[in-house]
Amino acid sequence: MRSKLWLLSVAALIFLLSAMKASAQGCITFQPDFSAYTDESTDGTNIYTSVTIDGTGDMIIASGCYTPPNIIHTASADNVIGTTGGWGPGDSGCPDCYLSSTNNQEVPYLGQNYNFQWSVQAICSVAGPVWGSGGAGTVGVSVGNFLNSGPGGIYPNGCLFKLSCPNGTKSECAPSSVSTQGSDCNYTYDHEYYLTWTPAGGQTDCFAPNLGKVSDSPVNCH
Amino acid sequence: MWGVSVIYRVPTLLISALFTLACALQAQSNPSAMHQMSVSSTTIDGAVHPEQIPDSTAYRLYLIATSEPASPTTEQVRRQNARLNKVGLNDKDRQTVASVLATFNLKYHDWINRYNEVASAAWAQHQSFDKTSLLLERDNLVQATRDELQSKLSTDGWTRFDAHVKSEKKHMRISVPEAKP
Repeated sequence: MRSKLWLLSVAALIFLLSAMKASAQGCITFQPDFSAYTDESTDGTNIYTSVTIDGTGDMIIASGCYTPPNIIHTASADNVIGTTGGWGPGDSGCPDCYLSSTNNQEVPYLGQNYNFQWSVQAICSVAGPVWGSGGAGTVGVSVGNFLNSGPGGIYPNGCLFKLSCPNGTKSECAPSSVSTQGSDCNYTYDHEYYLTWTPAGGQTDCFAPNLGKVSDSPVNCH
Repeated sequence: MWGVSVIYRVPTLLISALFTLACALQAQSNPSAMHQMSVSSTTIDGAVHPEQIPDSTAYRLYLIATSEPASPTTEQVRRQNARLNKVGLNDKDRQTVASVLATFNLKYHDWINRYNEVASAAWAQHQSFDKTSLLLERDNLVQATRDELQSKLSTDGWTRFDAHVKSEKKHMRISVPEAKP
């Protein structure tokens, strides 16, 4: 009788250990459905960056599992350009709620490049991070100096400006020529500005943000 | 007699205690189990696989990030203009886009509020809710905004806008369910 009772004790212990293992696995699962988007732009005066996180998720609690009260999920975005910015306040709600948050930053364009670092994260107040992503790169502005070479280009009665970088400087983004028309043809130079984005370890992308200024004075290319 | 009783009673009590504890754990009544939440997803990087970012997702993210309220601040106008500069629109098309995006901004936030009312109520009651139909409403709103832009912009403006949004996939990342073995 005594040995049977001890045998039952051992069986109960094994049951206990298996139950402990089960409690740590598969009780609660979360299927994130989030997206992130980053944007860099300029108006020639400032450089703007934005980081967006948007989405929701499915939290599934297995039958019989304990559900702690007041679980909060928060989606937030970190946006640092140069030394400006940081984590935004984010958007919070229930575990199955839809969360959307955009963190905008801006810095003055002073001719230099800026490091741009970003992260997004969806965090559960009880379980910690449930989804995240991030990246880094360099944002800057490239300048092309174009010299008026007379009638030509794509516009009727327009004129053609050819790239002419003074003092041996080079433009990272400028094409060999640009076309213009109207009173712009009365000027000697056209300065075109391009936004550049170089992801860490990647190649530079150039965006032409429609920022051209005619002038009778040249500027250095870069 | 007393000694024999103790010999039998100790294992009996031990068995009872262990079974009680095991059953309690089996029922997952330990809140610390929450910390063991399993998360299953993988992330698609649009810079590497832009073809795996759906157009509807690209439009949604672009519209969210670029839209501003109907009565924007000076700072919001500057920021939006800088973003739209990259598209290469003429002034008329740019104003059209700003107006359509302001309407989208309002409707999108209304939709999020409605979604969260339903989700919060269901969560409080430990019930599920019809997430699919709500997400379909979101996608329909994005599609309707896209259709409105196509109908109101000049042909050249729409071509530029559509190409720009799709090219922005390289700045997007999305989570997708992990393939089950």
